[in-house]
Amino acid sequence: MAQLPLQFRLNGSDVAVFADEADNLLSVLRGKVGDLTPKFGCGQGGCGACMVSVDGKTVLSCVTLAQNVQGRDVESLAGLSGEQLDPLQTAFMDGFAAQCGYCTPGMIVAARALLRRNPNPDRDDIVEAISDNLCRCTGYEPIIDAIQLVAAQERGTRA
Amino acid sequence: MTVQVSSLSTVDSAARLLSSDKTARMLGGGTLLMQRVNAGDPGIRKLVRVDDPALTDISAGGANISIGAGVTMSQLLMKPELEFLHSAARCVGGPAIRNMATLGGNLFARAPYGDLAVLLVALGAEVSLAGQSGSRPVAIERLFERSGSAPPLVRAVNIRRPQGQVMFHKMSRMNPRGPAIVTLAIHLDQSAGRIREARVALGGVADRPCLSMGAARAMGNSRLDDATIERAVTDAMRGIEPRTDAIASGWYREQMVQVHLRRALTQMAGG
Repeated sequence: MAQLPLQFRLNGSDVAVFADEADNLLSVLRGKVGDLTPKFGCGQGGCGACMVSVDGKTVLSCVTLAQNVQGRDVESLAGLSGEQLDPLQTAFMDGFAAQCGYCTPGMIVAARALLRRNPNPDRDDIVEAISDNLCRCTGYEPIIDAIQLVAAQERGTRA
Repeated sequence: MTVQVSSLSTVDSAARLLSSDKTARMLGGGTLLMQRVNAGDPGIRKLVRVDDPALTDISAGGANISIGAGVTMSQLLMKPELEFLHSAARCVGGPAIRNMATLGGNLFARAPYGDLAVLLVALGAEVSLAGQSGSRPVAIERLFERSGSAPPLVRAVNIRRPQGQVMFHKMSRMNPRGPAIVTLAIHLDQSAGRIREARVALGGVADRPCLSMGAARAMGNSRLDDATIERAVTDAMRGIEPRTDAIASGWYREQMVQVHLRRALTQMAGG
């Protein structure tokens, strides 16, 4: 079966790969592009480990048809940090918000999406924002605290 | 097994393809269908994508509302004029799921999912089907009566802006977005203190959303008082065999319908 040429922007860079017609976005990112930051968790859109943003909106890449991102902007955890870590990454490390770390990429993508649309979230907003994401280690509290800390820091930075 | 993808520009051409190929499935947001593709479901050999602007149209300014089947839950939530749908749309997953999940997909999500569809049944919504130009829209509950035949392709959902009281309530072990034990939606149209029309829709209790005809009959042309509420609660599950699954037993679901219907109607009565 002929493969499909697929072009999109990943973390600001143009990407061109060949993919099977029904490949999901996660398998293309990990298997064809080599971005290993989105994780394969459940393959059912139920755990959030594979979360990325497409045109600024979070999606679950394991249940996103790869063809649907043709010509669009995809952002993964790898796109959030450049020379320096994203403040959320630092806060997750400092606050022990990651234990096994498997959920962390999805958590940080979800948290960054929240802080972009709402720089002043309350605790309920944060719980809601990470409600697509499962964590089996931390009990969520350190994650919520880390996101609240970064929100406060970034408000201070902007003030 | 290889799954093909057909990308089409009109919803009518998609309807033709779907009716001629029983292994083809319409792809909406993918939240349910891609799970099956990922799992290698042998019943799916082709996915159909449609890039038709008609599927994402929302006309919500007046009394007659039309919402394209490809509209996502997030898009619904951004429309203040569709506020009466927001409580149900908000129950669908978290933000990422809502960015993907479509109205059309929700109509075909089997229990314990498909919460928005329950509210649409209570509101007496109709659906416009693709590939049947000139035909009248059909009542949404008719969609759920088709067992065995290929599901039709929904172009849009049409709703009259509700007059009267609307109540939506979902009971889940992980509120509000877990799989439903019971989802309850009520639309009461009252005039001069009497109920002109009552529609009580239930989700989770059967494989698809269903109307409680017993509750509707019990409330028809009555005042919404304690006696009416008790009749509605007693008759709510008449003719409905509640399903048992890993989330709840049929017995528990029946009890929960009665508990939550009583609470909801009491609240609607101002009690």
